[in-house]
Amino acid sequence: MMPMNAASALAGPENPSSPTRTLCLGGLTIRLIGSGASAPLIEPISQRFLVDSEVTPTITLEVGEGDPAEFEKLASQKPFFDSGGTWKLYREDKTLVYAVTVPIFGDIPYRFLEVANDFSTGRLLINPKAGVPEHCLFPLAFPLDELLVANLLTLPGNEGVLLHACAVTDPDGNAYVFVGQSGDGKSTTARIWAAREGMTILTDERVIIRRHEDGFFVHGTPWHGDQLAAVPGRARISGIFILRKAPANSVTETRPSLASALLFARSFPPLHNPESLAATAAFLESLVTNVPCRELHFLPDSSVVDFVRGLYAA
Amino acid sequence: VNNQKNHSSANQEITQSVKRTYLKPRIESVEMRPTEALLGACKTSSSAGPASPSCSTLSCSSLGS
Repeated sequence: MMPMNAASALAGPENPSSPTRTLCLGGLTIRLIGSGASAPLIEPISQRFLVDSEVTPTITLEVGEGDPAEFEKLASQKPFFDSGGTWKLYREDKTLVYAVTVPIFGDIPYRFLEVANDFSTGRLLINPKAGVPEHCLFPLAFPLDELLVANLLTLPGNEGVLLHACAVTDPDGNAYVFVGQSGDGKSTTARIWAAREGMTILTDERVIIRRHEDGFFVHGTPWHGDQLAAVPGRARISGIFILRKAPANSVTETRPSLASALLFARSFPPLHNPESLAATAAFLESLVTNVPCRELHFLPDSSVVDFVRGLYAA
Repeated sequence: VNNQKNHSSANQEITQSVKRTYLKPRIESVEMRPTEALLGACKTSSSAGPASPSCSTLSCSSLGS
């Protein structure tokens, strides 16, 4: 792997000719600096989350084509962590390398994200020998974008979590977070609420929750579901509901200890890092202590909208 | 010393008045789904949810539930 000081020099803002793109996800800014004249490609939905490049970035990444030998070397190494899916984590002396391999491009990683241990700088490279078609050249596409954000959220001072949830704001200024694993009803919930006038679905699949100076906020993300909801906004959380399909609408109060455990099971913490796990557990404990978190047993029709909003009526 | 004793006695009374009913500890299990939690799932074209341009080609997506 390239020494990070070399990568930082390439990726640094001191090179004004480098084309840049800056994404803001959950209030965290990711600056991508392209090589040559071409700007890093961003997936269409993620482009909604582009911001002014003058903001101070949380992390700066050099983006471009890598040396095929680096990818081959990764494939020959034993990973530090194997997701069992498309990505593996390799640990170098001063860096972490998340490498993505999919069968269609062979058994050599076709792109990787290398980040310094402090997550301040890194490289995001595509294997030129993989034969990736032009319309797939989104270096930060899933799962690297979510893995990066999931890590950044657990760093000291960032105080946040990536949750499997959809989030809705209503005309009264309330923001509800509906948390659920696959099949629990996030897409159904988003569809039902979207049918009502004045509702905004921040996202229907993944949300970022963070503690800011003035409270806990939910942020929309580009990681949408069936409803294609991906709004780059944030709202102060009124309530968190853990979804349970049921024949009638009701809520049950949930003890904070159980609530934080249920949320943890619906979150995406870096499971390979004990410090990140501890930070996530501490954040969730703080979240459920400060924000009402209940189990919502719901009938999948529009009656649930009135039911939930009724809980917050003056 | 007398003041400390009196203060301690008052504390005991307060503690007794707010003492909660003992509940026997019990273990509650919470289901985790590693394939979801690890962001490692690779969804196929038959899975629920739309696909982004890259996902439709790679048959790999984080999308949908």
